[in-house]
Amino acid sequence: MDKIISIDSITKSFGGIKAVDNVSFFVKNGEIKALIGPNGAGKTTLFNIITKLYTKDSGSISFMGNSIEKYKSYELIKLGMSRTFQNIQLINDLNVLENVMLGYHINMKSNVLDAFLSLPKNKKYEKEAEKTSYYILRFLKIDNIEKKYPNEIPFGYKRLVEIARALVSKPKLLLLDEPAAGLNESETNRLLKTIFRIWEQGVSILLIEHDMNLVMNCSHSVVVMDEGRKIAEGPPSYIQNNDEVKRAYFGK
Amino acid sequence: MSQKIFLLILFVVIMVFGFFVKNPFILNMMSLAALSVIVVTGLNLLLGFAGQISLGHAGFVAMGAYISAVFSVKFNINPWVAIVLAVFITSLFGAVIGYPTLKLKSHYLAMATLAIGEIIHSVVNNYVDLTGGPQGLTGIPMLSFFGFSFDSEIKFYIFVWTLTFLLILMSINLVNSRFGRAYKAIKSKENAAYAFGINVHFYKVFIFTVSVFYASLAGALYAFYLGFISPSSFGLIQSIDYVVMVVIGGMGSFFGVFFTSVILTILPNILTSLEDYWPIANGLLLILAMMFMPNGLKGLFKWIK
Repeated sequence: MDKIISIDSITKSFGGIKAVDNVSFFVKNGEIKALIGPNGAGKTTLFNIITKLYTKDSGSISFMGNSIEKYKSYELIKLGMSRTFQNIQLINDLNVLENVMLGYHINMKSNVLDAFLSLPKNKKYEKEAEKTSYYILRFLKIDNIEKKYPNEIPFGYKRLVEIARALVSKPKLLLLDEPAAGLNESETNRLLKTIFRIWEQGVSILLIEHDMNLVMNCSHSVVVMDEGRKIAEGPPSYIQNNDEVKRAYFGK
Repeated sequence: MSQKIFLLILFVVIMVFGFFVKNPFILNMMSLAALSVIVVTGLNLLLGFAGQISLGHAGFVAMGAYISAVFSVKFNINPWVAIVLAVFITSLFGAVIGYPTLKLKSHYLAMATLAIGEIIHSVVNNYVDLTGGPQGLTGIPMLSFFGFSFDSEIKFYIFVWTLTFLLILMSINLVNSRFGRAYKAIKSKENAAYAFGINVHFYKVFIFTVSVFYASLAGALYAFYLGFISPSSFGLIQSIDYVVMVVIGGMGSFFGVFFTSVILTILPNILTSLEDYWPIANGLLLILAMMFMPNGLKGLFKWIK
């Protein structure tokens, strides 16, 4: 099985406007794929369709060879697909470690009775979640902020915490929605290294990104969208010299 | 200091207080305060942690009270069995009615829950054959436990406060588990919660049911403690009072809502001559709290982790 996710002829309209128009592509197992395009090209809409936050009008998506048609948005993480968000979605009432533990929610088998009565099973899984989350924080080299709350840490760290939270469930496919947005140069470089280190662990990655430098440096393959349609696909060097892409970005 | 140690200290203080205060009037007020604490602790789980409002909780207290009382008075069922049945039926009702209702958000949810509370209230008020209507229901027997009767204020006081602390302890446990984190996510970032594998709607219905469980249990105990219930104790004003207690206590702060519900239950009983003005004071308190203390008393208990 060489495709981790395959997206076939996805279409989605809002009112009369086609936000995503007959888009197809796939991500190979162990690949870093970038999805780029100008603002309003439909990238995030496509992301939200993949993660089932939006319903599609037509088309199909299969993950590791199986259609995800019958799954609800909250069931995808169990299949091995997890995501981050364009606007940071950290929970301010939880500290960094707890935020990451939230990503481990489905891996914990303790039920509500275990929780209400604080039974050994609850404690066992709490410990396990804590250990795994801490391990991920250390992997991303941000374990020094585990006790801090989201409003006490710099923006660049928040992005990394979001990534940690998406990683803790040990996904096979990681979806990153504009991970470099709002980051300065050194933070972006750090992110680039982080993405490679995650990829080295065998995680396939699909990312939406505006930062061309990051995209050209880290992705194996790039899909370009404009006005809802896919206009080009190929390795970064090909995309850089593609006329369609230039036209979409810079006009004629 | 950890929450559980503080809870234990609070428990000891309440027990010692009960043994030293001989005045039955004060003990009576404190027992009623405990019942408020139970309702408000449940509502705090729903409103403070999961971020879902209910303006109809007095209705669920009424269901717990009336169902258990009617079972006991009209059908001669053992009071304890009546309480268990009433709590079970009311919680089931909460789950069934919560399923469609909790698909609504914010204002719409507030309106729907308000309507549920009002419907329960008017059923109780008008189904005179069973409930006695506006006249109330009398002759509810006293609780006894294998021949040990709760015939003095202090006995009920110890029983009800012990139960209250156990229920708070359970809530603290829940909040400190993966479910607590899930509810905090639902409260502030509902869309993201799906991405962590949380079945948001199911979780909302569940915590709603838990809060209905707390409310109906308090209602049932209220009925058997006072021996008399009437619809006027379970109106919209009471529902709003519960919400006020959560808001002023600080959403999600167990100890904040604990002290607020004790104080706001006792005050109107002491200041009976000002009874007519109480709703005004209550409303004013809510406005002032919203303006100057949006986090309620939460800040006072920050040192308890």
